[in-house]
Amino acid sequence: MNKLLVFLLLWLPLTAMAHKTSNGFVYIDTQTRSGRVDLAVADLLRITPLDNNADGKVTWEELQLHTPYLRNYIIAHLQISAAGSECLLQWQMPALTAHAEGYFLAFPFSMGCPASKAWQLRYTLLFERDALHRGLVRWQNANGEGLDVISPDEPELLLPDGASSSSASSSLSVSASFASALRILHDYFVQGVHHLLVGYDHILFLMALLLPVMGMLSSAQSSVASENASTSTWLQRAWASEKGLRPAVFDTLRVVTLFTLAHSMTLALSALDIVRMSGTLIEVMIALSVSAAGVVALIPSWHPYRGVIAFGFGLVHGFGFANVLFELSPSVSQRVVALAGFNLGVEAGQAGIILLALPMSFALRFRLRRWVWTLPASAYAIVLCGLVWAWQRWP
Amino acid sequence: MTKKARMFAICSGGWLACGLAGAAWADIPPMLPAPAADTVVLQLSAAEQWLQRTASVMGESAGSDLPNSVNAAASQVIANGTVAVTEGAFTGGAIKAGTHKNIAQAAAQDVIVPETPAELQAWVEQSLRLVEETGDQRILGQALVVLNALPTTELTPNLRRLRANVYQSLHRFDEAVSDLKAVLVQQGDDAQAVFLLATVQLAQGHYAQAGEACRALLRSMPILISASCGATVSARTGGAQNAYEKLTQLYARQAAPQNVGANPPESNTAVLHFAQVSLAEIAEQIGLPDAKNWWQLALQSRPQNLYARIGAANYAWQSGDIETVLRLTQDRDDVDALQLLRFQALTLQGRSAGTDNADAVLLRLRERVDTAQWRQDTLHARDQAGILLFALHEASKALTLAQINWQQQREPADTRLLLQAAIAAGRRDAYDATMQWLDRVKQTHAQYPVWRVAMSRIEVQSHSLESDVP
Repeated sequence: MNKLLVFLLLWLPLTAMAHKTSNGFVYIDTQTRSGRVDLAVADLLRITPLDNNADGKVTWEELQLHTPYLRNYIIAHLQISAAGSECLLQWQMPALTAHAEGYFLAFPFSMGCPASKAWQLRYTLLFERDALHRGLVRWQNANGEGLDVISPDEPELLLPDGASSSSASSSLSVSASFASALRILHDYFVQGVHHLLVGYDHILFLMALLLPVMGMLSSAQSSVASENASTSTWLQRAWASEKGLRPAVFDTLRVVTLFTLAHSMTLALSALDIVRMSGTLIEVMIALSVSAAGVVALIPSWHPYRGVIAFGFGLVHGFGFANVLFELSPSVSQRVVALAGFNLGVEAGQAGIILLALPMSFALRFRLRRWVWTLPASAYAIVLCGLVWAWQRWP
Repeated sequence: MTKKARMFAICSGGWLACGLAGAAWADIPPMLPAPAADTVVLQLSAAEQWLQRTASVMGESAGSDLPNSVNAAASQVIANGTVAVTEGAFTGGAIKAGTHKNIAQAAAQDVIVPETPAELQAWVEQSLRLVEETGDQRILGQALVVLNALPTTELTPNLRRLRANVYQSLHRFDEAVSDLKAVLVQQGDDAQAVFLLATVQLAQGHYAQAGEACRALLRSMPILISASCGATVSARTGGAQNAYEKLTQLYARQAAPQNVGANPPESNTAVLHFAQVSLAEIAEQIGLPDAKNWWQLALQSRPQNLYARIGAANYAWQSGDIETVLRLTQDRDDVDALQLLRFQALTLQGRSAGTDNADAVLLRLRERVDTAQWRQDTLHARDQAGILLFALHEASKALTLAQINWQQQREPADTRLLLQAAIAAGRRDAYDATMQWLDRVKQTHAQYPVWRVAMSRIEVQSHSLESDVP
């Protein structure tokens, strides 16, 4: 019966539920001649028993104690060669780092290699202990970068040289040559413009903040008319007047710059995985920001604080942009270029709208003055719009 | 005013530049500042302790291929518990006083070095038991290295069967079947091999062969085992109702107190547990609410068993029991299937307690999928497909993975996921191809989505699942 017990205990891992995979990460940059090897603490303890005092915990001190031994183990199992001759690796102090699977010890190194286009990596770390261990390599050279995987069956990896950046061995490799970077930049620029134009909540928010500017423009009329200077054109007069075009333009510039500054910040922070926010929450807050901007437009004494509103809610809009960017770019290695292109696209779309709206309101300034109810009515409509969106987006 | 505007422009430009400069390093996780000496870097799980204690199973290979300068001393630090450390053995770092003592202590921990085939067998069995509880793939990788390194003459039928078990856990079914067939040639009455063969063929959807293997078990196994095995085969080939009734009756008789005393309590628990899991799955297939009770019983009899935990959590999710999902998936960050269910439950509830919110779980799942893609790993194709479909909403990618997975295994959970992915991706052809196979084997399941209504059902699942409670 004991035999039976054993086998029954063994039966149930029928579906593979094994999830803690064993991975070592290797980063190589052949241009700066530098690199890094990251090994999981859970793997290091298979190389040498890290838990000295057998208390079921591995501490930083215990790790440090074993570092020389571990480094020698790595030296014996990792070779990099260029033009057929092995590079001399110089190891720096290791440090702790974190991957999705937990803590890793990172061993940074620099390489002494001859100038070459033919780089080769041989990785046999942990293979003698774990048939399922994989070396995950991320390489970077003059003409591109890419991802690769090393297994016990194929412990050697030829890094593709500049000429053929898309090698057969790296199905995931991303050629980041100048031309393709430009393409990505272009693609994401278009996406950025597109998103700003179809994401009418961003536009409405901006318009609500700029509503009072129309008020300034309409009052400019009276001051311009009162001056009887025939030497200058009407445009020069409008610009020079105390309550005219110049304050309106600068006010617009101030609000838009603050909004741009804020959303660029959070977009970058979020796209680079430094901060991450819930999508639903952000969408609701963006809707509410539209209402808030509408309320501010309604109350003249709050007009000076539109800059603060633009900045504060701009932070929220940045997260909204970032969530779109995530949906567009699954690959992490393109993110820098993608982020730049996307942000530029958003700014371009924004600038385009303002360049369209400002002259239009300038042209309409007499009518606006006559129809005194236009501004409050628009503001009320915007507040209502924001509230309805917030209601719809509420989870 | 102009000055101000200029300042704004400079500031925002600066921020953008900072962000872009930071991005260059974003893909590579930053190195952290050195923590305090007593900071715990890793709290050792049972699996990790086992890995540490059994590392020297590999003999002296740890040091034997180190460079000569190091080899002389360092390589022999830990070899069969003996310690030989020479001053200056290590290079490139200062060694604190007391290092030798510490290493000696480490080496003196009861390191397990199996020498005879029987010891090796016990070692692999213990490894597999830990995999069942922890799901740590490292243990499987280690066992595989040891078993594959054995010369053919030393690979006893028992060890070979265990290797088949490892292969089966890794979904390498062809290798598992070839090992099992070799075992059965040598010892035809090996009940464990027959049983393993039955489970592999069941998972692959080879129901005729699986049924044959289940019948062969009648001679050598408790009746409840072969009956559960046979009932599962019948249930998946159109006879679910009948199989469920028969097995329920048999279970009631076998679980009666007078019968329970006959066997050693532990193995009896194992037999009952197997029957409970089988009954839960069949009840779920028919759509009976009894499934809840069976999963509960299975969890009670073996709380550490991951298979039952995933099964029970999945059933709770399917029936809208969010509280149970959250309870069963708590503190199991390491198991993707449980994490996905947790994410779905947290999203539905909109609840976030401390760090335990849906977004944190999503971030973890996304990273797992990224790493799996980098590894070019299809072992967890089912989980990856599930994450892509339900958490990341990438239906066509999910479908591709679900199809790859379905080529390997065709348990109801695999089939359901494939159908859901096909619907979400709007791929009628993939849906119909799967349904054709199901019709051919006469398999039906209460949870298989129907094409016409399914579109809305999948959407509904993420909003108002409570209304589906039976």
